[in-house]
Amino acid sequence: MLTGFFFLTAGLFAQQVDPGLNRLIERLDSVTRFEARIQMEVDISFVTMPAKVAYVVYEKGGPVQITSEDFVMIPKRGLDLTLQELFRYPFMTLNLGVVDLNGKKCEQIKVIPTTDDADYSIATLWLDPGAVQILKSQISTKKNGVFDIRYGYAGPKELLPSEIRVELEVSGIKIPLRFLGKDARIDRDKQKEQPQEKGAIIIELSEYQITRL
Amino acid sequence: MMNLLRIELFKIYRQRKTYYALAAVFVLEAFIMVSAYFQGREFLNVLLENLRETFEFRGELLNANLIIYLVLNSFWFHIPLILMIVVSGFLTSEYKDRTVEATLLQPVSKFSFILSKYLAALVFTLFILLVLVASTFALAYGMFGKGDLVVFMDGLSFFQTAESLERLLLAFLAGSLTMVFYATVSLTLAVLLQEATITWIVAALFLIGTTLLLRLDFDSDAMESFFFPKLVDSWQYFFYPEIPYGVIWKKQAVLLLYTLIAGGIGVRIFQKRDIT
Repeated sequence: MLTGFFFLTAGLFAQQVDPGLNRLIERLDSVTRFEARIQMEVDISFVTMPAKVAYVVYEKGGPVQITSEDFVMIPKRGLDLTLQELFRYPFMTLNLGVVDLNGKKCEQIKVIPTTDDADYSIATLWLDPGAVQILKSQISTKKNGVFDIRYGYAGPKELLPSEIRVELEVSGIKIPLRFLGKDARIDRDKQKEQPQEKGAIIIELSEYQITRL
Repeated sequence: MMNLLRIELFKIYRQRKTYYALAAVFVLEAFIMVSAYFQGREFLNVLLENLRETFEFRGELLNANLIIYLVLNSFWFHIPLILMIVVSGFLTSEYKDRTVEATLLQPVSKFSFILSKYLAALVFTLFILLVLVASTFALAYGMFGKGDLVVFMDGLSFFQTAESLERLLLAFLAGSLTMVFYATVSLTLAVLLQEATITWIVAALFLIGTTLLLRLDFDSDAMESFFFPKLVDSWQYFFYPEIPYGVIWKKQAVLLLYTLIAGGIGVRIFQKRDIT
């Protein structure tokens, strides 16, 4: 009876994952290791930063490692190229059908975590069913706001993207009172409000070295 | 003239207050570095707190370039104050000791005497700044290591190491003129007031007034371009993402003119006044 219950629940879970998404997961799951050079540009109104170069290394099962000789700002979402963070905990999916994304037909799938362990509340994925590539994701995290991520590929057969644009919500900066600098005047009301605004990080990936199963 | 200048420089070399000034510069530097070491990270955490919600950071921002930038910010008040006190003392101490009369009893013109004082003040100021720059760069790079510089100028600006170094050096260079301006004014105040304590108080008030007036927004291009308190900050412009060289050159040129005028007033008053 216990065995019967196991098969029943496993069957239910399998039905909860969209077949199109399953194909993508299987494809990305074949990546055991990759490394790449990344160039990052920050597009935030109150931040001026030159393009930065870093190196990303991923080993299956481990976190994405990023190293750089310079100071770099890495968005908390967007560089999880194999989507392992998204699918780390049990989830269910809801296929919203075919939608148009920049003139391309793609499947829109909602991913809803089924446990409280996940650090996001809902994610929406736009998949290219033909190329089995993710074109866009929108992840509503529990603590870090909403991340809007667009992926560009060098070709239809490419497994991992060559360009990522991460749009995110950022609050204005706080200025320590002791900070010395011209025009470091503090508007206390504005400081309290800390209105959120949209910012973006544009990441170009190159010099890929991918190991697959 | 060269002999007089050499004598003035020798006097500066032998005076105790010269070494007090150097010690004050080192104490100031040490204080900034120690407080940056213990509180710098907290300060950066507060500055970047909101960005930390959506970003992870790699790299060290508490580095030599930030320390040098903090030392550079002593150009607002601390370094000018030290310079004004010491430089005005070059003349007030001579009034007090009555060596002005003794010197002018020699075949020395008033003009040459006072001009040599101004030139000695210029050499002294540049020497102090050179010591400040050399020791700050050596200590900061030795203790904190290189890295990107972050500054707040109409938002957060990040500069890579090589660019930071260039901007910091240019800022020190531009700031030197501001320091020379303050030193010149203090010597002119010494000519006017003669008495050391009164000169120090007036010099300090001048510095405080200038700093306060710099922060006031007059909403006038003419005031921004020609009112002297608005001209002492051109070194800060090297930390805008796009350096406004035109504005810097214009401010520097007008400040140089005011420095010459301040010095000229001092020379003229000294020449006209009877030395009793």
